[in-house]
Amino acid sequence: MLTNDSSRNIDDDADFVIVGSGPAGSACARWLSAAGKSVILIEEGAPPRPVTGSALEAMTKMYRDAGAFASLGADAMPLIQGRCLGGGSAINCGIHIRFPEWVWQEWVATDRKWERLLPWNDLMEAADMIDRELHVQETPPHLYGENGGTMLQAFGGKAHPIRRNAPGCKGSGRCMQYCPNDAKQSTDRNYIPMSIASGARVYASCEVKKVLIKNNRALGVKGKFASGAKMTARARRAVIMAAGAVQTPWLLLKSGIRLKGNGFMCHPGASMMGLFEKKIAGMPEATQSAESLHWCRENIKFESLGMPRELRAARVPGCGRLLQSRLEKLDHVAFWGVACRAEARGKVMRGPFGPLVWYSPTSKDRSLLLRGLAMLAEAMLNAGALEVWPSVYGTPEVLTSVKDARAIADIKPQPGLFPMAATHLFCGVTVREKFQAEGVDGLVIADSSFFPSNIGVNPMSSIMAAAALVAKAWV
Amino acid sequence: MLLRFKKFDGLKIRKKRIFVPQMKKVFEALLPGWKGADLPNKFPAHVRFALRASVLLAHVYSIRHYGLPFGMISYDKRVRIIEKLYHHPSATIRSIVQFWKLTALMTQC
Repeated sequence: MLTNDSSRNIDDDADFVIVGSGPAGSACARWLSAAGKSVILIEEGAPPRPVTGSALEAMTKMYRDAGAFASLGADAMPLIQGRCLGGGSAINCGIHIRFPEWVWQEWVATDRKWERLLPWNDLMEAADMIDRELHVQETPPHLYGENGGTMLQAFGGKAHPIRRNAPGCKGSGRCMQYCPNDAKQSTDRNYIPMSIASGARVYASCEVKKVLIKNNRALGVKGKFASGAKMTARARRAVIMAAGAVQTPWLLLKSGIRLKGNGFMCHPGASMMGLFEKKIAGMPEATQSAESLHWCRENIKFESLGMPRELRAARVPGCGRLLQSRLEKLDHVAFWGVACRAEARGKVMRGPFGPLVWYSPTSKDRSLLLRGLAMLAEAMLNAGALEVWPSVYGTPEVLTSVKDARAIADIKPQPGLFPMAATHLFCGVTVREKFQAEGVDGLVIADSSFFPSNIGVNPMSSIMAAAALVAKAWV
Repeated sequence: MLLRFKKFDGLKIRKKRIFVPQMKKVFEALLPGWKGADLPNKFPAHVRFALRASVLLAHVYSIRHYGLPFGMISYDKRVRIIEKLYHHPSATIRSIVQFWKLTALMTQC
């Protein structure tokens, strides 16, 4: 049963109350309800609808704070989060990359508990099942588009087509505005309906305000619907927090829980644009079709980017007439990005208007991104770009030689050199047996909030596989 | 309420946000030909406030360089001010201009 915004107060109870319907929450709901447990799934946002208008319309309807949520620190950057049924899976590009084994080994080397909580074979088994259920497959060649195709060509054997959960993709390039063709398998299209079919009760447009705790035991949650009606959900066995790496720790802090290991992490990303003679923009094209994991062990990952036009335009360096003249050539511009597995640790705090995230990449992180930007610029020039537009402060407006491109890597890594954004968020909150938060029984953390480090690749597959093991621990 | 005042407009009394026209002038200088609407209401109130208040930065520079507020100088001078801010040595000021740019492009009609 799906209830979207109730006009009357609701008081409900179940074995498990899950907060957040993103990849983690819906995966937990899917396996718990399939095992015959009663489940309440609560989501702050509304069920998503395809948006035909601008990116802004999509962002105001499906993104947290209309996409304007940003970290505080030396390099303030937008932290993109979903706020709709399906959470991040409804607005991301559907990329599934397996949890890297070397990251898992790092976790186990730091703390042996991960061997017990997330056994490697179980994690891979869960990932296999998720891949099958979400029809994950490599982007077919007819959807590479010129942007992704040029990247594959530029990186040679070091890049490959992205594996995505969009089996019937028509290449509309609108993943971030919620797939209009029902192709992308966001969790509102599979795991949530599957959970409902197994008896789960889903409440959308209901913001959880507080986790109810008595005698160090989580009893349920209190929330409020968009209409103003109140919601009380009581959990007989556990409250499962899966609201994302910012909202989960914030809700716990708000509920008076002293978090251990609150260390916010992410993959800061930057982008590079190259002007080509050939037309780059064109349909059909998957939003993101090519990536390179070749330098993953060196903590750098490259992707072709296919943002909505206005967001892509915002990344074009320059202002005034220069910006205008560059925007006229936007159809001939390739747009690639680099993300780094940053070593920086931040903090989620309570602020006057909601959560605050304090986060500043270290000099090493900035150096990594500068190196990545230099590599992208060089690859673009080698692939035939007429010129490259680095949005890096202190570099020439236009680069035309490989020597200039390589010089980007040698720039002193000061704060604020180039615009950054982050979409993959983690929070390192300490968990104990059955993924329970320290000091509170029956309060389970099931999303990337408990990941002790960032993982260097797109985390949706890893989050869902880990959430499946969280559910398994409670069945 | 701090940012609003009532303006007598013919027979109608309408609320007018003080910083919005100035913000539009910033956006027009940043992106020639910008024709946009007001900020979307779905932007959180503190973000809208911060954006509108950040226009003061343009005023400060305008007064320092031309002795007049941003809205009272010619279009070319406004463009020059924005370009100066875009290439400013301070990362914070560059970030603010970047945020203006993103908002201008997203609110472009």
